Amino acid sequence: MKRRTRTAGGVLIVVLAIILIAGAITAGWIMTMTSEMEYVAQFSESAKRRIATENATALVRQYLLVNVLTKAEATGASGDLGGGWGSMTIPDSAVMPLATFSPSAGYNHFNPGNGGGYSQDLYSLPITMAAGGESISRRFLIKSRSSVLSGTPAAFHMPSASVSGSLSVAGQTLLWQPAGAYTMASISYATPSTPGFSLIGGNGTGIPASNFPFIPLTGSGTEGTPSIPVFDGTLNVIANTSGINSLAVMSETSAVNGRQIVTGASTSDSDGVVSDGAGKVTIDLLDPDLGNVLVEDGTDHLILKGQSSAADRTAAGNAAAVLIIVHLANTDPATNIPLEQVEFQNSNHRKLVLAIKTASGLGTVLNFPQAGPDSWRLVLTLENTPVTFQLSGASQDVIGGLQTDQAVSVQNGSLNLVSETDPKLLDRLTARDGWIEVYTP
Amino acid sequence: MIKANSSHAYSLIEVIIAGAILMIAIGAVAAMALATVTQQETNIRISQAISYQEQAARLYQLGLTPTAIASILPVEPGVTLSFKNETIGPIGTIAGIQKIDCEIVFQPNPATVGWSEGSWVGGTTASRTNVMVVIRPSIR
Repeated sequence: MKRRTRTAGGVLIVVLAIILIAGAITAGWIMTMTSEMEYVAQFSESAKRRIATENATALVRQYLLVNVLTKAEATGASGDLGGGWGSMTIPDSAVMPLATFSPSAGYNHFNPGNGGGYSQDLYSLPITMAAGGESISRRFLIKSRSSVLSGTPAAFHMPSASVSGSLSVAGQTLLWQPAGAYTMASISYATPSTPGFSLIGGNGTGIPASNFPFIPLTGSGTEGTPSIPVFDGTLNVIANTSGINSLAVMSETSAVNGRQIVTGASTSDSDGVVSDGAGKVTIDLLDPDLGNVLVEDGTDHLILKGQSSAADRTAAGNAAAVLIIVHLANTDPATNIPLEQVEFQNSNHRKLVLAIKTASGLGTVLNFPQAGPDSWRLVLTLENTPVTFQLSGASQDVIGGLQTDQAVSVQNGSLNLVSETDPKLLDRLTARDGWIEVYTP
Repeated sequence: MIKANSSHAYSLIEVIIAGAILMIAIGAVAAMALATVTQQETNIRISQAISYQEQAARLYQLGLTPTAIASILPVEPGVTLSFKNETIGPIGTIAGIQKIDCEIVFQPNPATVGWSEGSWVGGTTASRTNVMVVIRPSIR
């Protein structure tokens, strides 16, 4: 009798082994599918959390734009979209961001201030995300800086800025377009989300802000219901009645000397400012006692005396920055005396902000009679005042820049606007644009 | 007389039993495979649709109009995107908020679906709707 061989049952074992392996593979497959299903379920939730986070941030942005950026104080607010789509509770605010002198925290060369300017650190707020009650924080800052001092020596505002003649801009130009000119708008850009981040150019310095959309910007403040649009590029900074970002107020409160008020209608002679009582006011920019000046109605001729020698220019360059405001508020045609001419004598190295606002809207001639001996260090802010640069036949450099909401004409030469390289003291005396930045703390 | 070798009979029975077990196993796997592959395709469709919807919602938050969003985003097969119920008003005590419902309708079940001339055809009519509530500041 033959004994059963040891191979009996081998096929069964092999089949069972195959089934075992196939079962393991199938189980792995099923587990992978289960993981995918779980991923998809979580993906939907995570998408909701991301949208809810941005929704909550949008609530704070809107609140800050309306209630904080353009106001002196604001009562807190809260909003809840329901369904886990975002909610925020915002505390009271008693800050005036456009008046702060706190330097910008961290350098963000990707913003309109080209990394510099001032920063009002408002608060870090927790944002509860849609699911699970988890929360993250967002840090909200309002930053502000003069556009002219941040790499944009020419800023043309609403409603009717225009240029004729030869104007050269060594830097960027800010053109506020009429409402509706943009077909797309953007409230923010993707980066940076970390304080201090900036794009670095090949030479190691930050890349200056470009003309990419970064709105809303505002230069004005208001109390109550806005009667003047503050986010459309309207220039309202010289005598803003709200006092926010008002050069008239700034010249009073500035730490740079006191302010004297002069009118061409009466004689006076004090600290480098002389009025002949017949409409002519002369200001000596080399005078060491010269402080901020407010020139009022009754003035038709303003003379700014620069420096004629290299030694004087060096001395003027080391003197304090000054703010000169010409505010002609009279609108009565019978008694109104227009500012016919501002005369820029010699050249000037003193840091100077000249702001002109005329209620009548009559034009003014900015006269540079010398044949371009040297540059004029000058930041011009022109509100409701069309100007004509009357040059001497040669090109004229202006170190600083101009912002205006009316027509600019250049005659008898070429005007070159060049960025100020040392804006530190001027930053405190110039009107600012303000904007919001949101960071992850 | 030569006795039959019983080990051959065992092998035959083994083969029959093994074959039966194998067929049952293959049948089970085949049945499960259809469900699993279908589920896999469903997962892909859902994640693609949600991702598409999120991109649309983010573009709205960035300030684009629904028309501009529709022209920017590439067509996603099987997904219909629409923006509905746009309003400007307060959310709580915060005024001036622009709000909209970003909605997608898509078919998650791929059974018998085919691809023809740029769109999905066939399949069941069962569809799913997902709505994202999106807001943005009216000042922007």
